[in-house]
This record gives sequence, structure tokens and C-alpha cells, in this order.
Amino acid sequence: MKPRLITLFLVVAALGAVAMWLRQDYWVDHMSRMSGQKDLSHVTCFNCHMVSTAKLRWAQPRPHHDAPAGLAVSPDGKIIYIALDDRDQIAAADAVSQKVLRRVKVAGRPFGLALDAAGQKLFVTCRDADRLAILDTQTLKETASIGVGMAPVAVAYCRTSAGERLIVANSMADNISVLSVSPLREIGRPSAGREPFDVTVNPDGTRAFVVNRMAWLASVKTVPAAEVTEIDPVTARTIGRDPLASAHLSESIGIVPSRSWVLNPLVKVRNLVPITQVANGWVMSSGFAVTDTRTCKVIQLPLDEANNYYADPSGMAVAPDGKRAFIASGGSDVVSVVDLDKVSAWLAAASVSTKEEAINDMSLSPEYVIARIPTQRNPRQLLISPDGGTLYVAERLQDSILLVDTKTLTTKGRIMLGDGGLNDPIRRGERVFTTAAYTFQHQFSCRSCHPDGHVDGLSYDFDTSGIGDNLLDNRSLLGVAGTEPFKWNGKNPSLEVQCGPRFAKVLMRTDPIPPKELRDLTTFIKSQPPQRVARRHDGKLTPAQERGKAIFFATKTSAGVEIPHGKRCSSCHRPPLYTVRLSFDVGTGGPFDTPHLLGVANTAPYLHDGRALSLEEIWTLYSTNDTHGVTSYMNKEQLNDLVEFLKTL
Amino acid sequence: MSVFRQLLVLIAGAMLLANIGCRQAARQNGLVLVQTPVAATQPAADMLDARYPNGSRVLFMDQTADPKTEMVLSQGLVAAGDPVVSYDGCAVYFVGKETPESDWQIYRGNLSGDLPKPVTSMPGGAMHPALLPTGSLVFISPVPKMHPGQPQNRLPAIYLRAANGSPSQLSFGARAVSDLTILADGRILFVQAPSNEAGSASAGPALFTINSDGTEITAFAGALTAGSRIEHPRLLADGRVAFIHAASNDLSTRGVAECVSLSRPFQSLAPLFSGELALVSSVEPALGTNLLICAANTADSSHRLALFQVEPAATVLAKPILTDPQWNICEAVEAVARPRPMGRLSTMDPQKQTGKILCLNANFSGDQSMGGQSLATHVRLTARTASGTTVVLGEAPVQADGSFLAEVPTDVPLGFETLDANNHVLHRQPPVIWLRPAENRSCIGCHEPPNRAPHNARPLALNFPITSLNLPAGTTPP
Amino acid sequence: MKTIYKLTATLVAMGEILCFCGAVPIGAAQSSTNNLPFPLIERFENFGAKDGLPTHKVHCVLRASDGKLWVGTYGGALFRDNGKFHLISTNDGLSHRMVMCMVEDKRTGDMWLGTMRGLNRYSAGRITTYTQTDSGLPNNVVYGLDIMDDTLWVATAAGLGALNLKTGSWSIYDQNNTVMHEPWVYSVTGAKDRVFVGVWGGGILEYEPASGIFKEHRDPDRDFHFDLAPDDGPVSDITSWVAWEDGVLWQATYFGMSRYDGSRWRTWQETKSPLPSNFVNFIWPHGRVAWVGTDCGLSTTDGNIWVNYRTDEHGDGIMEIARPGQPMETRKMTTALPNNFVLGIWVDDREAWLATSDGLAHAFLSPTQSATKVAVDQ
Repeated sequence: MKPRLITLFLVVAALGAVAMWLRQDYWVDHMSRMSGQKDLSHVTCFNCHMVSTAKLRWAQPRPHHDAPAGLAVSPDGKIIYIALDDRDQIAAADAVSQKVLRRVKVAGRPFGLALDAAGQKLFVTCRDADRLAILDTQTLKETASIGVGMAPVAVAYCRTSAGERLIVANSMADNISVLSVSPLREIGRPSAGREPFDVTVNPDGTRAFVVNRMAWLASVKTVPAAEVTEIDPVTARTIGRDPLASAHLSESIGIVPSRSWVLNPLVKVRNLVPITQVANGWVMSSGFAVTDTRTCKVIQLPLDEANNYYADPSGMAVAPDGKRAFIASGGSDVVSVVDLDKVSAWLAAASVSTKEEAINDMSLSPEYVIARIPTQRNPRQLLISPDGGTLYVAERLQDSILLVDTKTLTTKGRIMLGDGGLNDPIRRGERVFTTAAYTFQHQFSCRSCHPDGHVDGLSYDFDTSGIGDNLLDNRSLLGVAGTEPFKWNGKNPSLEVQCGPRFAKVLMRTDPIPPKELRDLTTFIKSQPPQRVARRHDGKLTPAQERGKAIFFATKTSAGVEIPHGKRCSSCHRPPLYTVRLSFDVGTGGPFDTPHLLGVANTAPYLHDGRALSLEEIWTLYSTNDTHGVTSYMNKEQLNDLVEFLKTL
Repeated sequence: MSVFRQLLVLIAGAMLLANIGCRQAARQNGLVLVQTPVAATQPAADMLDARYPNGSRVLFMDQTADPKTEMVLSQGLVAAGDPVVSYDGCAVYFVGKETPESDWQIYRGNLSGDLPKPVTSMPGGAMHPALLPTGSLVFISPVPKMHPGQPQNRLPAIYLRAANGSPSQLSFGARAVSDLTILADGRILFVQAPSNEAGSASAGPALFTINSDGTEITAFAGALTAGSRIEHPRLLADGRVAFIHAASNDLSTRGVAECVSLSRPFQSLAPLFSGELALVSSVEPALGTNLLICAANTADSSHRLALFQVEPAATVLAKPILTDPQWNICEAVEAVARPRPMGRLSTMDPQKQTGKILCLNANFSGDQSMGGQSLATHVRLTARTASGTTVVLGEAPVQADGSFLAEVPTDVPLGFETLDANNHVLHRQPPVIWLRPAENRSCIGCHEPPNRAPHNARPLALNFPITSLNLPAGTTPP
Repeated sequence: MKTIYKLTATLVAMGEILCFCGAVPIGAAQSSTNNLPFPLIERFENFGAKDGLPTHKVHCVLRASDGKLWVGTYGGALFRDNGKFHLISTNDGLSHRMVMCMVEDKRTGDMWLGTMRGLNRYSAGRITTYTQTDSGLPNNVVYGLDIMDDTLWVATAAGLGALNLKTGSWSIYDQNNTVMHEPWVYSVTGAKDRVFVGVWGGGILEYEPASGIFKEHRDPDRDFHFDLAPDDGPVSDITSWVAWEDGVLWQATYFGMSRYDGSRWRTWQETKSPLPSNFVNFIWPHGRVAWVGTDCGLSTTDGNIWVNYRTDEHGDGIMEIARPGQPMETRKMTTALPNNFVLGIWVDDREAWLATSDGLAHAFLSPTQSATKVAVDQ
């Protein structure tokens, strides 16, 4: 009986469909009404129907690679510990034979590493599991684990007057977990800057320094600034914040005890200046900050040269004698060697104004950069052996660790972890994504504005027919597969166009990325899933989130008044991608492309020019007269509920 | 189409490719030399006559080949020189003239022994060929005459030879330009003569760059001492730009090899060879990191120019690798394939006739002479016309942060005068830079310190309507 | 009713005059302090514009756990370091100049500042603002703050907000989702496992986060002017402040004050007790002693003995000690409160800081009797 009913239903449905098909005006009316578009030339059934995330590239299984993340070295310098986050593994390698001795499974994307003073405990931050694991270095077995903030990426160990402490950078929670080791418990969780990314502690354990990757959220027309956060490891209290004016994307930090300095690489960003050119660091340049811990004065110094740039400064290591610092430029496959004596001499001789201007002087770096050591693809984390003789360079997209003799600055060998993964187009694409080789004078890579495929949280004034009239919020590349067209004006039909000629003309100021590399690049981008969001461990929504969900899908206001179809949240932000991939005017000077909402919680600021600093502001400040959906009926609780729901997408 | 037919097509295609392809592979060690006769005495009518007197020739030579290869590429020309090898190593572009009286033009030769073919026919001649990453030819025209009294209708400017063979002008400055080369980042590096304008900061010749579409004219290095001249700049593999620096404008004087580093071109001027001041006529990068130097052979009593090959760190030239009693070897280039520089998509729109210029702070200057002056409240923009006179385009307001924004005519030399509230000129920049159609151009300040990145601040000028400035009616652009 | 009220007020005023006539300088009566279960104020040191305060009106004061004194004024917040006040104003990013309340997150050292327009976190020099338009803050008018575990409780003019300090999520509690009758929340205080919320016109709400249960404490007689049946519950529903310490909840209203130990209520009004005025702005409990800020001066009481401080019309400081069953003892002080309108108080064993309508006062306590000691003794 059942199959007959189904058949009957299908026949009736088919006949109905045909009948309606003959009435073309019905379909025109339907598409016009449902899409809200007058011009239907670019509207298809697939804007609303038959959309599935399951078929998207990021939802498919992908190959995993032996990409090295965090590094640690045993106190005797014999064993190198390597976090292989993409494999969920920790590797232990022999520093002398340069061979991997052992690998163990550590769940949750192990990323940052630190050892205790005796070298008996290996502390591992698990980026996707929001926990810190402790491994016994003899057995490499996990002996303890503790929950920390979201996406911990770095950990530092120190001994204090109150006992052993761990300082953990929780990158997506914007805070720092301060843990005692015995017993293992969280003492406090002070706030960091935005996206804390690396931690170091001074030798006496009295102060921890945390470097943050993103600038504080602020008006798009103010000078952005990331910060170095100072924490008291004993009390877990914040004791200082040193702003890095107009600088961000710092991924490592190191102490120079002999000079009372803290060093961190940085990207000097110039997003407030219209991008009329890229020459002379007009968009961004690389450098490092020298913070005097006694005076809290910060001097920013360039790492680039006048006509050659060293993009995406990432890992940094300071020699134990404080004479040299090594900075890895992940986009340029180079480790720069900074002579700190020369830095010191220059600082002593320079006037205050010269020091303030130093970061903008693209000719300055030869004063103190004494060598550029070439590496394989994408050098990131750096580590120096306890005796200072060997520099370890994690060549992340080569699956290897480069060993450099710090005296001769020559290569001593490599610890091979994998084969580089060049058979995987996603990995090849990541190589394209992270290299500055395609931009004018190698100034930046895709990653320079899209760290880990995400956003840098800034708006840029792009070069168009005018100057200063095209301020655009940076959009995340995570989860963009299937959300074409691209660009805020919705005019780029594909990633191939967006990343090819458009990127070349507007930003790279070079020829487009060659076709084969472009294919790999877009494959990589399409393989990037939306950013992880904070949800309940059981995956269910909280009551507030459930209420917010009901509001998101509401067809009537609280008073029972029908909300016009085009004014409902879910009409334009239709699941599963939460976009119908069409442009609408939401009262901000549009029409603008409808962004997808997957991972929207962490993509502030919002709207096309980044004018809304929070999700709330989209409606409280910038949706007058219900221009961005009918929302004026909501009370504050309902708006909060809606925001809570959006943060789960 | 059957498989057989597909195969036939493939084979035919392969044969065609083999036939038209470069047959350079067997000549990887070849050199392209410029030989000038030792006993040349004829008077020089123009700059190239002085460099390449009649009888000068471009020669392909491969002494390592068996049998030794030697082929005159400039066959049929009375004089030739200034060779540039194409990126695939197959073709050689050089200057030449067919008769003693004819203009110098650019010729394309190949290593197959064919006669060279002219690729330019510029009135007043063409010189200094260089190849863009696309393979397109850029050059300078006209060739400057030697005697001031001789008529010189146009200042030497940079031209691009389009795909259809027609030239399009890339540079529009108020000064003569010469000696092109292409940097690895795709920019055209050239020498710009000093300005005769009062108030000009440059004392001598200087190196400038433009993009391959003529946009973004930017000082690269210099200026060098007044009265001197720069010739033959070349980018070396180690990141230095070498050139010949002669102490005199007199073309009969030879110069020494000097260099600047890309990393700090304005602060790094140094002799290429610290151990000696040999008189050098050309420096070219060679295979690997070595250098090919054509210089006066001090071991030779007549100081003929010979060919040397040295390592980049060499302090002296040591022994030449090639000498010839009949010839000065004044230029030498390896006839090998080379990596192409980085290309660039043009942002220019030929349909437009204006560009926009944004100055971030007209009160900021690397010129210390500006210190202590009052602040500019407006700026006067000027342009150089075809007649060589300077006309005023108009004035634009300078905002409190020193920024101003103006829309200006393109392809004309533009000058600036900052004015205080009393209309007193605070600083004057004679017409030097230009904008290409639809170019958006910015500067940090007036005579800004070189290689300086801007402060990250949104200019106040962006909050106000752009000031549109035009050439006065009836003015003819150059 | 009104007649009775006026008559009572007149009698109290006459009593004050009589007491003043018999005032004795404090030094002469020092020995009598020994009988008091809490310390007396020996002298005041006052701070105003001459000391760097941006305005005369001071709303709140507290000494942070790092020893820094924090002051909220009509013209911004200040902290005192090495004897010097440092102003934090709207120029520094403060959301509004009028700072009405403060609380320190003792675990992180962050200072939370409630203003007339928004909430601010001051953390090691950096200010982060939260307003009703850019965050889940229920309303911009922030009257009261407290921190309990990972939650910052925010009393606003349109409900109680709860910010989860780890996740950044906001919850709102108001008349829509609780038993709260009015959304006008004046004060909130954490009390171990629960939160007491002072609601203007709605009495006190008791909330247990673990169970999600709200319980309402309303004035049983529902007369907000008069305490018709003393000790039967909150003295009035017009709650201006609530504070909790050591198992005891104190309620300030503009019609008297109350005390609740979890089972029994006690109430005080000016006509029936030494409380100098029904207009109670603020209560700071220290141990079991309440420091009470009114429009007529400062009171300290353990519920039985009262010591009131005020400034008379000559500008002299007056101390009144009221012991049960004994006549009021009045002493003249060598120094005086800058103003009788006391808006904020912070006290520890050695000192008290008082925010008044006309400046800030530092009160030095008698050294012989620490509040803690007295509390322990009791």
C-alpha cells in the first residue's frame, strides 16, 4: 500500500509541477517574491533549494599531514618534542640523529608545548578540545588533563614563589588560564587582548607576557592596536597591557633577560590609509617590538627591507645569551637573524622621534639584521637548544624541522616528519595561501590578512575609481565554499576570480597567481570549514539559544503580526549556509552580498565596512526602520537570545 | 576524430613547435658581446654615436662550444650595441643604425644567423631596449643629440612597443630619461637627468622606477653628484643594483662601477670593487651569482676594454677572460634563458583623462630646509605644457593633518607649491611626477624621506569632496 | 499619618539640638569608646577639587585588593596611587562620566565601573565598554555591580544583567522572566550560593542560580512610607541598596533600612531608632556591622548600638552614640564629614572611605577596636 501511495503522490506532484510550469508567471512571481530581487537573471532555484553542506569540500574527509606546530626541547638538549596538530600526535625526536623516536596520540589537536624544569612533564595545549594535557616524558603517556579556555594554543611553564605555574593562551576565548601544577587546577582566568597566541615568563617567574594576534575591537576609523598582556603568575592577575600601536598578528614572544626586554614579531598594518599603492609598505610591513619591561616603553622596528619584504613574521626565539633573536617569516621562507647588540646600540643612539618613526623606515633593518637564513616552506615556530647552539625551525608546510647552527648560521640538518604532502591539492593550496611569492616585492600573503583562513578583524580602504570611498570589512575565508558570489558587492562569481585577477589587481599588484597554483589555492580555501563555535558539550542549544532560534526563524512578531518574507532573518540567511547568496540593501548603502553566518560569532566587526562592532549593533544602531529584517519588535531579552543563537552557528 | 588522427595532429604540433622553438639549448655558454673598434674617430652626433661608433657590432660568441661559435648579430648595420637577451634566451634586442646618417632604432636578432629586423621606427631614434616580463619591449626615444645647438624636439621618454608594433609613451616627466633595466619586481628602473628647475632638490642624475604601465613614478636611488652621469644600471643576483658612474657629462669619459643595495638604495652607494677604480663600461649579472664586467684592461698599455668575470664579492677585477687587440669589448651579456621578473596587472584605464592624487601630509618633508616654517593651508598644483612653460592648474585645500586630495590631468608633469594662509609659498616642487589615466597616487609628504611607509591614519582630506583641477583651456599637454 | 511623621521629625530635630548643646569634644570622651562593639571614627581627612577630584560629587569608593583606592565621581573614575589621584575619563574611553558603582574582580584585578551610560571594565589600563546597544547589557543606566564566581551581576534601570565572564554571554532577569515586579534594579549583591537583588519598588529578589528559583521579599504591609509592622520583612519596597556579608543581608531604602539573617528580619526607621534619616543611600557591611550612608550623615550599627556622624550647620563634626536604653551621647569632633549626603562607603579594620555629595572623606578609625575583633568577640 505504501509504495502505491508514494507513487500516487509523486504522479500528482509531477502533474502539479508541470501544470505550474506552464504558468510561467507563477514561477517568476515565486522567485521574485522569495528572492526579493527585481532582476532575476542571476537567481536560480538553487539559491534557496537543494543546498547541502554535506557536499561541500570542507565537509569531506581530507588528508592529514605531519605539520609541526609547537616545539619543546628537553633540558639536556637531546630530545625535541614536536606537536603534530593535524595528526593529533606528539612526536619525540633525537636531536643528534635527527630521527623521530616515537609518536603518541594526543586527542584534540595538540598545538602548544612546554616542559617543566626537570623535563619530566610535557604540557600540551589541545586546541580543539579546550584542554591542557600532561604527558610523562619517560612514557609519553597522558597523566592528567584539565579544561581551559577555548582554543588554547600556547603554554608556558614557570616556577614561582607560590609553586609551579602554567600560563595558557586561550586564543578564541580572549583570556588566559593560569594553572597551578600541583595540584593541577585553574587559579584564574584573566582577560587577554584579542586572540592571545603565545606566552613567555621571565626567569624568576614574577611576570608572564602574552602576545595577542588581533587588535582590540574598535571603530574602523581608529588606529588598531594589539597588546602584550602582562600577568602575575602567582595571583593570575593582569598587571599590565602594553599596546602595540597599529600592529597586530604577533604569534610569538620572547624574553631577553639580560636586557629586560620582551620581543615579539608583528605586522605593522596601515589599513587606515587608502590602498593606492603597496610599495614602501603602504598596506603592511613586518617588524618586531622591543618592550622595555622596566619602563613599559615599546619601540617597533622593521624587519623588512626597502625593496624586499619578509612577510608573516611568526615564530621567534632568543638566544640564551641574549645576543641574537631569530624571527621566522612564514610567508617568505626565511629566518631573519637580529643582532640584539646592534639593536641596543641603535636604540641608544637614536632620538626619541627617530625611534618612534623607526618602524616606518624601510631602510633601517640592515642596521641590525645580520643574516637571512633560507628555509623550506612556511617556517613558523622556533626553538633554541638549552646551550644556544642549535636553532630548530618548524617548517610547517614541509613537514620538517630545520636545524641551524647558531654560530655559523648554516643548516645542520633536518628532522623529517612527513613528505610535505604535495600529492594533496589542499596542502599545495595552503602553500600558495601562505606564500608571499606572488605579491609585489613579496610584501604579504593571503594569510597576512586571513590568519588561519580567518579574519584580521580590520577594514581596508581598497583602491577603486575613487580614493577613500571603499572601506571594506575583511571577511573570513572559513566556510566560504558554496557561498559564491564573493566580494561585498557580490560581483565575483567564484573564488578563482576573487583570488586570481581581482586579488592581483587590487592587492598583489602583480600578475595573477598562475592557473595551477590558483586551482590549488581555491581547493584549499574551499576545504576550510567554518570556525569552531562555543556550544554546549552535548551539542544541544541552551534555553536562550533555543529562544533565539525561534526568533531567527520567526514568521510573526511577538504580537502576532506577520513578518514579510523578505524581512525575516531566515529568508536571506537561509540554512544550511545561512545565506541565499544574493545581494540586499540592509540600509547601509548597499546592496551588499549576504554573508553566510557559519562561525559568525568570531568575525567581528560586522556589516560591509565593519561599522558594527558587535552583533547587537547590527540592529541597535544600524537597522533603523527595520532595514535589516523586522527586528524592532524585539525587546532586549529577545535580541540577546537572537545573538546567543547566532553565536552557535 | 579517430585516435590515429589525434596522434597525427599531436605529432604535427610537436614538429611545428620544434621548428619554431628556440634552438638555443646547445649554446648555453654563449655570450653576446658588443665590440667597438679600437680606432674609431668619427664625430659623434648623438649619445649612441659616442658609445657605439661606426663599426661597432653585436656578436654572439661561444668559445666553449666545439667548434667555437662566433656570429655577428648586427650584420648589415653600420653600428650596434646595448644588447638585451630575451627571457627565453633565443632573441637579442639591440640598438643599431643602418647608415651613418640614419636614426638609431631597436633591432631584434636571433642566434640562427638571420639578419636583424628593426622593431622600432621612432622619429629621433630609439635606444636602451629592455624587456618587460611579458616580453614586450620598452625603450627610450628620442636619442639625445650631442650638441646643445642641435634641435631636440622632445625630451627622451620611455616607450612601450605594443603588440601591434605601435609605441605608447610611459614616462611624462620634465626631465630626460635614459638607461633602462627591469627589476625583479617588474618595475622599470631608469636614469633621470637632473632638473634645471629652481628649487629642485636633485643635484645630479638619479635612478627612478615606474611600473610597466608608467604608473607610480618613484625615486629609487641618488641623486648622485652634480655634473656626473649614470649609465647601464643592472640588477645583480645578490640584490645590488650596479651601474656605471662617470664623473662628467662628457660621454667620452668612462666611469667606474658603483652599486646600491636594494635593501637601502639611498644609503648604500659604494664602489662595486672596493680594491680598485677600474674604468668600466658595463656590468651584467652572469650565470649563478657571478658578474660579467667590461672594463679597461690595466695590463694592456692601450687600456682597451676587455671582458672580466668575477665573483660578486670580488674587490678587484684580476685577469680578463676575453681580450681582443682590434676591439674594445664594451658590453657583454650571457645568451641564456633567465627567470622573468614579476609581472603586473595594470590599474590604468586609458579611457580616463584624469587621475587622483592624495598627499597624506604636505607639511611632512625629509627636506630639512622646510623645518620651522608655518603650516600649509592650501596647495597649488602646476603642470608643464608642451611649450615647456608651467601653468597653474588650481589650488586644493590642505586639511589640518596636512592632507589634500585632488583630481588632476594625466600624462603631464605635475608640480606643487604649498602655501600658507597668507598665500606665501612654503615649498615648491617643480613639475616632475605624472599620473597615468585613472591612476590613484599617494605620497607621504613633500620630499618625503625615501623608502618610508606612511603612518596609519585616515587622512582628513577623505572627508571632503575631491578638488578637481584641469589644464587651462587651450593648453596643450606635452 | 503625615501629622505623626512631621511630629516625630520635629521631636528628633529637637533632640538633635539638645544633644548638640551638650556635645563634648571627642578627645575628652575617648575612654567611653571601649564599650562599643565596633570602632569609632577618630577624624576625617577630606578630598575635593584641590586634590584632583574632577567634581564635588562622589558616588562610590572602594579600596582594591592591590591597595589602590578607586573613586567614582560625577566627572569620571579615579584611582589613587602614591597619594595622587589619576583620572579616568571619557577621553580615556570611559562610556560616561558619571560613575555610579564599582566592583573589583579580585581574581583578575579588573575593576568594573557602572555609569549612567554603560558598563566599563578597567583592566590594567585598558577600558572595555559594554552598552545596551553593543552588548547584552540590559540597560545603560548601571546602578549596582557584584561579582560572584564567573558571573558579573549588573543592576540596571531595566533589569538585572548577568555576564558570564568566561563565555561573554549575557542573561537578563526582569519582569518578563522572573517574579520581579519592576525592572528598575538598583542594587545586587552576591551571597555565597545566591544573589539578592534590590528592586526599586519591588523589594528584594532572592535568586539561586543553581536551581534557577527566584524568591521575592516584599514589604508585607505594602506601605512604602511607614513600617506598620516592624520586623515583619523588608521595611519598604523602595530598595535603594542591598549588601550582604557574613550571612546577613542589609537593605537600604528611602524609607528606612532592614536586616535579614536568612530567617528573621529587623527594620529601622528614623522615628523608631537612632537611624538619622529614612533616606538611606547605601550600606556597607563589615563583619556584622553596617556602615550606613544617609542624606543626614553616616551611621554605624550592629543593630543595637548606633554611632552617627554628621556635620552640623556650623560645619563641625558631630558624633552621636546611641546605646540601647541609654540617652544619646553626643560628641563634637575635631574634623567633619565634607557633606552629610553619603552616597558610598568602603570600610576595613583600619579605615573608612566615604563618598559624599561634596567630596571624598577618609575616616581614620580608632585603633584599639577593630571591627573584625569586635565581630569575633560578639
